[in-house]
Amino acid sequence: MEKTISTNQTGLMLAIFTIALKLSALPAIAYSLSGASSYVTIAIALALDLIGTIIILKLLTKLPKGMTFFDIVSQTLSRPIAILIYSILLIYFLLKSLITLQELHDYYIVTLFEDLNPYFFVITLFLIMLFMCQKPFRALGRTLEVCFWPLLIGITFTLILPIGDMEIINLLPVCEDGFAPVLNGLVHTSISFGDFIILLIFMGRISFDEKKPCKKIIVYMLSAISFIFNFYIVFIGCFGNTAVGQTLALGELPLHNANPGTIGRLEWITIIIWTVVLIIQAGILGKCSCDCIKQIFHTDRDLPPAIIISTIMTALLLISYLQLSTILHIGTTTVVSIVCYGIHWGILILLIISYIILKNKNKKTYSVPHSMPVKEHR
Amino acid sequence: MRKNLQQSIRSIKKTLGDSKELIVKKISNKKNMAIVYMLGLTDTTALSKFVISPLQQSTSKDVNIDTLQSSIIGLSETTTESVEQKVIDAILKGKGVLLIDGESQAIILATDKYKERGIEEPPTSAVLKGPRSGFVENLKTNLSILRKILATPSLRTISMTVGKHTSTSIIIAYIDGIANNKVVDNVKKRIENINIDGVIDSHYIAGFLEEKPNSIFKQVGDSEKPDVVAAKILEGRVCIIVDGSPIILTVPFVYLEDFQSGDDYYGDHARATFLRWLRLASIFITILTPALYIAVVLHHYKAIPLKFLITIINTTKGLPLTPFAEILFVLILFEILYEASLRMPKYLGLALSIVGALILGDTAVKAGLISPPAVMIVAVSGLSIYCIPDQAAQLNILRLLFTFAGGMLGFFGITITLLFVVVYLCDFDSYGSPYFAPIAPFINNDIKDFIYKTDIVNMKYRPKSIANNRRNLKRQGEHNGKNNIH
Repeated sequence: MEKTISTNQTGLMLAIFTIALKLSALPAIAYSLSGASSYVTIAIALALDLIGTIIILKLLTKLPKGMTFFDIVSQTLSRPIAILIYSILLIYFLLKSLITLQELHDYYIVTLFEDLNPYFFVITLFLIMLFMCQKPFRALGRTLEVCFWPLLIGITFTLILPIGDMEIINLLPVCEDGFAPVLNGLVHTSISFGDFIILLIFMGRISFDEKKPCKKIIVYMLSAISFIFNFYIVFIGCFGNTAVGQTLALGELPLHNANPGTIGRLEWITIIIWTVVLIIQAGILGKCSCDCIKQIFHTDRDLPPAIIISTIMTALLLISYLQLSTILHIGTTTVVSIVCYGIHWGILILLIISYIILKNKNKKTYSVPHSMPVKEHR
Repeated sequence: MRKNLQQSIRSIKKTLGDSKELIVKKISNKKNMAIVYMLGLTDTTALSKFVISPLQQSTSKDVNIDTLQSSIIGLSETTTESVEQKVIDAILKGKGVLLIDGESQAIILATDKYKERGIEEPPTSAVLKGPRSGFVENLKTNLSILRKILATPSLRTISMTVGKHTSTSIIIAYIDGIANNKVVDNVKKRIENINIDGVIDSHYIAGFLEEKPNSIFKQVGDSEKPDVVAAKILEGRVCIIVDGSPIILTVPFVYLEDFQSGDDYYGDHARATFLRWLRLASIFITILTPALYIAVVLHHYKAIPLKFLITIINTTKGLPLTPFAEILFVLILFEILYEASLRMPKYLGLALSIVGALILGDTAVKAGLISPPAVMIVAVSGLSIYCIPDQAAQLNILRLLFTFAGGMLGFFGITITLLFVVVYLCDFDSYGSPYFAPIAPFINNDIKDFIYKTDIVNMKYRPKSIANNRRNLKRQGEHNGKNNIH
């Protein structure tokens, strides 16, 4: 049986997942789509994610313990449908992990290296991915618990360092060009959202607290959302119209006001911490992909899926090397964005349907005398 | 055992190779008897006074095992044994054996006596204030020291013997009701399964108790101090005492255990908190300083403030070695000096330190072979390692690993290696206890005795990081509680 993860670990993983992909290329993309109101776009998208998270959490607490998303879909709909959903999720996670790794590479180029050896970089990433993909989610969750305080320091420095250069005028008036740019941004940036999907992979492994089972997870999610929103405010406040050109916000923002006197001090802590965040994010995505393979091929072994996923990730990284903008360009097309919305909300709807079917099945079981109702297994 | 006395003696002599140290003293009273013992291992005075004399002077008509044990033999500890191999083991352990003609059992007489070292302060864990006694090499003495501190009827012991040729006695000790029975059973099972020629020291057993034997990380706690072991037992750990070793093993073991020192509990808690932070910092200084220096000089010189950068450039100008090779060279030199100073006769130690520190270090710098920053970096790292001496071995390996990573890939390599190590440690469990607890998983109750040290008054519960009896976590009074660890 898979080792369970606590709500604290789940919350941290969800928070990291929510934060990581939104701080690099997305700010510039969102600005190009929604203009100065891009923070409104982000706020709405994050609010939608929060709603999705709350719905999934509520369902997870009501479903039988130990039941995975694959189990519930297999039982209520059919096994081929479950395999199809997990195949879609596998591609989705791989695409996201590719973006994460590309962002990691670009982040390093901007902040630390000018001549990072691509082979060393890729080989090292392959090894760490292979290692992390083999480990249970619990190990990754615990790793994030270790990183919690450094993460908090990183987040604080990321927001505090450039705050002096902010100009509120860059943020006002809110929705100057109406709601259309906001909507445009919402339609095209869905690939960076819908992070509540990972909760479906965690399903059956989370050990909810007896009192207020979802409280910690929602608090972490709210903290992450609040940080992202503030990051966008600071980013647009600092860069204004030039925000479109800042293709790596996370790398540019901490260095924004760096005068020669500050070099070699605080921003290095931030850089190292964000590197850790991006690698863990890629690790979680890799692990989610491994889990999809394990469910599809009905295997309990950890090593073969880990080898497959890390090899695919490395190969994709090599093929698309230094082409983050191309990947993001594809990722923000209308078709891909709508597909992503379909994945996020379609799967959520599927979970709701499965839950209703399972509940009805249980009711029928209750009506049969001397039968063992599913509820008793909880 | 054979009923015939002569046959029994012959068999024992044959098994022991007719050793000259094997003494067989025949006594004839109502029955023919013989006392068999090993010269040098047995207390002959006690044997003469409490066994031989009473046997010779006895006028009892009915001489059998029971009357001998209850009325004639004056020793407080006697047992009977019918298996010949166990009788031979007892002789080899220094016990006297009384063989009686016509009896298939032998009486084992507790007359073993060794010249043992006195109880003194262990050199590896000296304290400024607090108990100074240390364990010795004798199992019985060690157990008695422990029993003196833990004078509770709940202190349970399980005796075992391991080693084909050493028959080393091992005792598992724990407090019933505080220790987790699953952990006790697991330890017992692991020791029972040991099939080895001999056990010379407790670390032989430690290897078999480790859940991941190939790991470089320590997985079994050890201590030479009775107060430390007693405190660990009170927290719910199980201790393993091995005859012949002054080091007592404890399980479960969590990584941050070595950050705690006996001194922390006998002094001011604020000072203890400061020292714990210092120990934590020393780990990072040890493993990261050489790696960060190389990474900065080789890959990220822009990260250094300008004045500092100029200083480094001035001192490293014209060196024949690259910063990476230079640091590696000094690190290996440091290790050679350390190893040599340990093995060298004591009177040569001072000379060696002069040679090492002054001649090698100073001359190498003056000759322009290595730079002063490299020597300083390795010296700081080398000193920091001994803030947590129990972790020295693994920190040494980690330091080399990080140095390589920093040299090859700069900050990226260091970050990746750090992640490797943290994920690896987070995936680790020691007898059901998370290895990185109470940080990961975060256990609020236990933080007060790890990251900071609170006053003893506020430490109301036993650590939840340890797999102990969850229904008895309160240090005072009774408590029924549950705790889920992930």
